[in-house]
Amino acid sequence: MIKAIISNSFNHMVNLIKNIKKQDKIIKELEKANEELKYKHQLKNEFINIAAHEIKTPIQPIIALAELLRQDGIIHNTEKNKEYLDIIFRNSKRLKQLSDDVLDTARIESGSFSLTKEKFNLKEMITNILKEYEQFIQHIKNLKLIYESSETNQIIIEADRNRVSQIIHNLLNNAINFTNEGSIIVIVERKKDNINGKGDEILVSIKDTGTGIASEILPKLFTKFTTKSSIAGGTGLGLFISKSIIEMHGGSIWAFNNDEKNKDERGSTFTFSLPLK
Amino acid sequence: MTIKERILVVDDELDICLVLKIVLENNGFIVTYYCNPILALNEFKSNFYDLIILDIQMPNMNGFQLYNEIRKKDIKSKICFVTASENITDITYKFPPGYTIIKKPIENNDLIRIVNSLLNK
Repeated sequence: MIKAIISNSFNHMVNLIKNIKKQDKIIKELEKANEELKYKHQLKNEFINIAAHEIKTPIQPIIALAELLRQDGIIHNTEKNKEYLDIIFRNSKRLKQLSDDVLDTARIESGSFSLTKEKFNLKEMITNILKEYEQFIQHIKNLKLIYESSETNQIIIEADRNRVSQIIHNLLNNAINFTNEGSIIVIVERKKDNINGKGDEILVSIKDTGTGIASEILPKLFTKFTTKSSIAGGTGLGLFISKSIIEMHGGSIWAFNNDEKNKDERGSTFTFSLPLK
Repeated sequence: MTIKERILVVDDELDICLVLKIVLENNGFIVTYYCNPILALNEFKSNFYDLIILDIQMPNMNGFQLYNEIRKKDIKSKICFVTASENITDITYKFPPGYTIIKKPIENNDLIRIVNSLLNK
């Protein structure tokens, strides 16, 4: 009897040691896999950094000189030359946008995208951006740019200033691309939210009178490589990046066709929210 | 007659140096450039430049090392950095206090605006 107990205990001990050894092996394997993942993550970040440097450096002279030649009038002797320069300038800017978008997407997917938050006046940022666009579109389209807000004072938010500006530019560029006439209204509202304790939010809507969003595109609008249409160009990454940035701030972004709310209205509205701290 | 401000550009990319020189000179500045940071340091004239624009990633001596060496000779000139790199904050360089970084590519108007603001114009 005692012999059997001792034998059982011994076997139990042996199994225990075997299990510990197994666990030890698994832990070592996991540690090794973790190290490999860290190394790959580091390689990916280094690749993004090198790619950014190598893509962006040659764009600088193209943009700078095309811009200079357009302004100088050095080779504006014929309309054709001016047109050629406009094409170079437009496409170099597009290449810059493409490199920015691809690199942002790579950073978002590798988890290395980070925000630099600071306090700033959102109202001032939006009105300044609208002034830039007014000068730009007055020669191209019959469009009115309007700012609307019930907030009369400054709207101070704590967010990544450059990234919020990037989102507003992206949404305005899209609205302008898809709207030939009518208006684009930027509406800023404060949303009180005392119910679930999330705190107040600021809502920014860009409402246009353009072509609207096709129903088959609407559900996948904020995924990669989706554009409202193939006509207007663009990388198809802008809305994906905007959504990622907004969510990193703790906000959200959505879109709808205006006829969903009022059947007489054309166009679409894109809204994003940002927490007010 | 207004005195033209002097700017030193150090970037290992020759075309970047040339373009910055053209754009800045077009806006009334006098520009000297070097594609080699060691040469830029050897030939550096103290208290001569109003603004110094340094690329960050350069062979032999990076922009931060060059900044430190220049500061030993000249504490007066404004110095800013220019880079096409991402994740600059990840790089283990020590940023000087109140640093300004110009990100490439930059449009001419934006470049001039930053340069003017650094020179308090």
